[in-house]
Amino acid sequence: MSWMAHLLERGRQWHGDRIAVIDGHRHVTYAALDRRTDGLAAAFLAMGVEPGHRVVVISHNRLEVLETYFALGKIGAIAVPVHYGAVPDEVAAMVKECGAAAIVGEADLVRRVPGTSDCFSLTFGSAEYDGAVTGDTESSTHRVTEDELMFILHTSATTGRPKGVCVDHGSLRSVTQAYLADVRPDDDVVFLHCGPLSHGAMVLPLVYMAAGATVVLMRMFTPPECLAVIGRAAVTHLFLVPDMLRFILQSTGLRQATLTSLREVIYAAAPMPRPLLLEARAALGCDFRQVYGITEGGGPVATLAPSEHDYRPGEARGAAASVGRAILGTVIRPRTDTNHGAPSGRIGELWVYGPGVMRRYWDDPAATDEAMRDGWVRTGDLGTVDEGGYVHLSGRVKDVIIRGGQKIFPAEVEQALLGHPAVREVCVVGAPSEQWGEVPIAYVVASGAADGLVASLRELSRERLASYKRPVEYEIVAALPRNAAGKVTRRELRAQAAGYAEQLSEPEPRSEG
Amino acid sequence: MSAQSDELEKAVTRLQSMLRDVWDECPPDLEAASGVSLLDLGVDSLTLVTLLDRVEREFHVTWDADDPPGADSSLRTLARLAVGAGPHGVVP
Repeated sequence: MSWMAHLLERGRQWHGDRIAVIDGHRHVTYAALDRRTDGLAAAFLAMGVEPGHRVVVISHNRLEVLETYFALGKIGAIAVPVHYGAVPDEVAAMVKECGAAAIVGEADLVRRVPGTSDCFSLTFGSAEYDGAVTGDTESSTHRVTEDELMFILHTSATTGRPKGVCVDHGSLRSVTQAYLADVRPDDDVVFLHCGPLSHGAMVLPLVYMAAGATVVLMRMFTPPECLAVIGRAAVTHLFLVPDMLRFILQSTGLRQATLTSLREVIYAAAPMPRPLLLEARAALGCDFRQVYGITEGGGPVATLAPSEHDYRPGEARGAAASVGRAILGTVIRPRTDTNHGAPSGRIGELWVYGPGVMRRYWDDPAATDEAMRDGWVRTGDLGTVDEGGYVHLSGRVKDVIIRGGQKIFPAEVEQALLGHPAVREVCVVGAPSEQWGEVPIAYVVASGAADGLVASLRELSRERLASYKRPVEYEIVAALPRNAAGKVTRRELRAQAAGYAEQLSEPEPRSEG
Repeated sequence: MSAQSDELEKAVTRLQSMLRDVWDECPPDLEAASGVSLLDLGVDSLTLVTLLDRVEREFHVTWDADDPPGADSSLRTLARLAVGAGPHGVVP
């Protein structure tokens, strides 16, 4: 039996009457979800979907997406989630790349994908779909081993061409067991998932379902709806990225929202600016958990518990300034170019080892070789691991700016600039310089009026940063560019910054030692 | 046309303009699609969040906590909520 099948069987046996998924006005119990996905699994087999077949799933967040994942998992077929915002040609390319046998999803999104006449298709809300999930199907167990793939997850395009991360049932099981062993959630969790179910972070609601949680879905995140749903569904755990939290705090509905049920905000995917954390803590009055994860690592690889956060004013230090410690069974190490573990406190690229890491990239051995070595998978993040096992990030490998031979880690500069009360967001990228190789440029989103802000930031930089780390240019922008997953697209800013190259005239950087 | 419906149409026009500002993939025939849900228009989450944020700020609107706007809302729905928001709900 596959992990996905086991998860629902156990859910039905242990708490069959408990609500497993809330999607708008639809509430589905664990028993019903198991039954509905039995029917859907049978329908997939009848359509011609076989074990090992790839099935593209394209949809906004809804109950049917989770049902499709579970049904495919029950028969050993592989789900290939695709973001609803992908353009039709992109989806067609993914269908072709993975040799999809079927495409499943919302009718409008499925219909517009060109060149899929060879695929079976099934659309949510169709008579065929509804007949499958409501039919009287006898449950049958399919032999699916741990090393069979469950998902091919496309990683963020911020690092270049999207690649398909192969996740098997064993990976899902081990990540789930490790996370639950460390986090130990109560058995009455109501988990509101604000991210898209096509993103690697969708492993987290599956993890909480293994603990009997109720997962709540919204088609797309909006602050007013999020606040309403928290009250309506008595949400206890809210999963989001820091930018979503910022919009929630800005929302005029916050003051009237009923948030008494909320116990924990789980944030991931991007660093949480210190002022935002403190403001959110004051406004929401709940605990915060950080999850550090990468798709190639199988989802969450480290977590910073609520008790390890520091909510006092001022900069966080020690453990509270980290992204947490590796979950059970997972090892995180900084490595240098020579492939040795870096001494404690020394910055290196972080690598992850454990039973949850991906098996490979789909049909891309060269990319797999680049990303994996002896079972270790590279994160692309720079950082350190301290004596207590706390992981501290310094930036991304590809983000490092080399100015006159000296390395600048953007995260460090950004942290310094975020110390200015009028700065809401900032992103620092390198611009090519004939003289020095690269120079840093800061793109700043102001929290209010920006009059005099640039001069003030120059002063702040002079106070807090070595001369070679100080941005040569500050561009005040309305918003930072982001991809579909909400991550800042540094590549876009780098391209923009390249335009400055010829105009720039900066003083010679001085080394501070 | 009554003053109320005139105000509503102004709000719809203003929201169309806002959507064009925040969405680089905005369809050219937006006028004909004011009653279509933002989800069906193809709006992504970031655009939707940005749009609602701007509507809140410009119209000083506080959404109904029991029936908040979301992906299923259309520009016309949002306009109705915006102009019904009280004395500040007047289109500038």
